This record gives sequence, C-alpha cells and structure tokens, in this order.
Amino acid sequence: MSIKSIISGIFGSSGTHSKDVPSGQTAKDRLAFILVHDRIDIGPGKMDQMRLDIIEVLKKYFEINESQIELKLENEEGSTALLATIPINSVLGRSGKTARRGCSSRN
Amino acid sequence: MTPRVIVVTSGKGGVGKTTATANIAAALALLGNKVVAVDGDVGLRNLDVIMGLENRIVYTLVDAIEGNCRLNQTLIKDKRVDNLFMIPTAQSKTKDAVTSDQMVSVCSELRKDFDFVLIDSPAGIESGFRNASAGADEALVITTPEVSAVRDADRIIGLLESMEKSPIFLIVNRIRPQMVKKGDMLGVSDVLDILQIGLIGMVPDDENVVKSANEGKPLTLGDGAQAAVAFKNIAARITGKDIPFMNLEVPKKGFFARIKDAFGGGR
Ligand SMILES: Nc1ncnc2c1ncn2[C@@H]1O[C@H](COP(=O)(O)OP(=O)(O)OP(=O)(O)O)[C@@H](O)[C@H]1O
Ligand SMILES: [Mg+2]
Repeated sequence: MSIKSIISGIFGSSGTHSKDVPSGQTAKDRLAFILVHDRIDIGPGKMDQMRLDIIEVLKKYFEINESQIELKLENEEGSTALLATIPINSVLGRSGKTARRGCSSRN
Repeated sequence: MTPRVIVVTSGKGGVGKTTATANIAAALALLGNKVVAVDGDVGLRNLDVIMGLENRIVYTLVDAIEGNCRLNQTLIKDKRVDNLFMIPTAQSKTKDAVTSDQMVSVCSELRKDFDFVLIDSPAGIESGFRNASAGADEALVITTPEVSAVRDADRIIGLLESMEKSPIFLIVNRIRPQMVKKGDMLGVSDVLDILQIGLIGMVPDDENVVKSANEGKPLTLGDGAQAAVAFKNIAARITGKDIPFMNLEVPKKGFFARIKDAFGGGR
C-alpha cells in the first residue's frame, strides 16, 4: 500500500479519482438508456432512421435546421414518451424562400 | 389460509434462484407453514443438491407426469425441519418433458396439501420458464445489481405481467455494500428506480451461501449469516409481516476507524 493511499484512506478523500464518474452511476445511466429502447423494442439505429423520416415530413411544412432537432425517449412511472424539440426557423413563413419551398414540396 | 403458488425466476442465469428457493422455502417452514419446493428446472436440476436431499430421490416430477408413480411419491420430506418438502425433477430429460398444462395440474394438486408451493424456475424467457411458471399465481424475480441482470429482469417482469402473475416482487441478491458505498455498484434504490416494481428483499453477497451449498444445508436452517437473516426476512414479508429492510449500508467511519483501516487493521 502506498503512502498516498494510506493518507487518502485516513482523510477519506477519493484522491485522484474524484473527478471520475463512479461506475455505479455509469451502470445506472446505461441501464436507463437500454431499457427505454428495450421496452418499446426500437433500438438506437431505428431511432436514427425515424429521425430522418420525421425530418423529411417536417421539411414539407417548415424550414428547419436538422442539426438542432432533438428526439429522445423518456421513461416516467412505467410509461414511455417520445420527446421532440424542433426549432423552426421562420415561424410565419414570411420569407420568400420558405414559401417557395413549401410550394415545391407540395407538388 | 389459501395456498400460494410462487415461482422464483430471473432473466439472467446464475443470479441465485435456486439458492433463494431453498432458503425461502426452509424459512417459511420454520415459520410454521407447510411448504413444498418444486424443482422446475427440468434437465438441469440443482434444488435437490442445494437442499442436501439428493440421496433420497426415488421418483421425480417427470416420473409422476409419465405415470410411473403418484405425485405424492415424489415428495421428499426434509428431516431437519417440520413441514418442509421437496419435489425433484429429472436430470436426463429436456425442458419440455413437463408442459405448461401438466405444471398447472401438478400445482393444483399440491394446493390441496400445502400452504406454500415454491417453484424454482430456469432462467430466461423460453419454454422452460413458461412451463415452470404456468401453475403459479405469484412471482419472485431475482436479480443481481448488474446492468445485464437488471436488463433481463425487466424483460421477465414484462412477461410475468402479461401472464397475469400478481404480485410480482423483486429480490436484489449479492449486494456488496462496500462497492455500493464507493459508488462502484448499482444500489438497490437505483435498481428499483429503473424496474419500478415492489422490493421484497435485498441479500448481501455472503460467502456463507457457498459454504451452505457445499454442505447441502440451506442457510436459513441455521442462524448468524447475514444472508440467512435476509432470506428469513423475505419469508416473513411473504407471509405479510412488515419487517424493516436490513441495513446493508456501510457505517460511516470515524477518523480513527479510517486510520485503522488504512493500516490494514480493519475487519
Ligand atoms: N447472496 C449470495 N452470496 C454469495 N454467493 C451467492 C449468493 N447467491 C448466490 N450465490 C452463488 O451464485 C451461484 C449461482 O446461484 P444459484 O445456483 O442459486 O443461481 P440460479 O439463478 O439458480 O442459477 P441457474 O440460472 O443456473 O439456475 C452459486 O454458486 C451460489 O452459491
Ligand atoms: Mg438454478
């Protein structure tokens, strides 16, 4: 046993590991993620696919920034919800650009 | 009292189903109930060995089902405690040697004679698990505080719910309080957060479990061992008693205890 670990044992500090996330917490986070997907039977890969599909649909109606779209599954008290945050660039569709896009996608 | 048929099961293998079945069955018998522990793990029988009754087997559950004997001829009486019995299964058959329907009728016959029927189930979601649990009303799900075991427990809980078992309770086995304290093991509250199911017991990792398996004597037939206390508490809770959960926390150490520990003087 090193002097350092003896000292950190005495003073009860976690010493050099203090900034590491304890592995028990990592386990909990991983489990929460795994189970959300297990329970709805849609894996992370399928979620990515769904994300792309949703973006395709939304693009018909809004001008959106794909990289800002956030989709996540949340679990609360036994039920699962899909939460989406989709910032819309021009809400009122006032810019000519948006209007034209809307037009072309309707055809 | 209406007889209760309880399946002891898990998603992941090797988490302690057989150990729990033997210990809870013995503890329930010590509380004055007439109990039979049924080995529902056809082809991989273990309950007889864990209970130390392997030398007394004449007929197995499969013999009764195949009509080679009557069901009550398969019952082995435990001589160490009144009212404790075991029904062994066959080692040489496959898991479908006992079908769901057959298990249901075995259980309804046992209900006539026993207060508790505990069924040791194989792990997993296959037919072995389905057959073993077919005749049960209630379920005890065993997990260890590990990612893979908890994940598989979630799956099994879903299946048990769809089979309309109720109540379904969780036992978290092999807890290592020192590791939990350091943050290096999932705590019971973490597991409960994730699984959202009622807890009926937490059992520490205890080397006495291995010794008792060596000797073929369920720990709950003796006292002293931490795991024995934990299993006895579970049995008492099953009978409806409100027993506080064991404190598996590591006591916060004072300065001097830490000095002792640091120099290898701690226990
Ligand atoms: N609380 C505990 N402390 C220490 N060791 C334990 C504990 N519980 C179980 N074990 C050990 O874990 C191993 C597996 O236990 P057991 O056979 O009861 O699991 P199982 O779920 O029935 O396994 P299987 O899925 O193969 O039927 C055994 O060696 C047993 O001694
Ligand atoms: Mg087993």
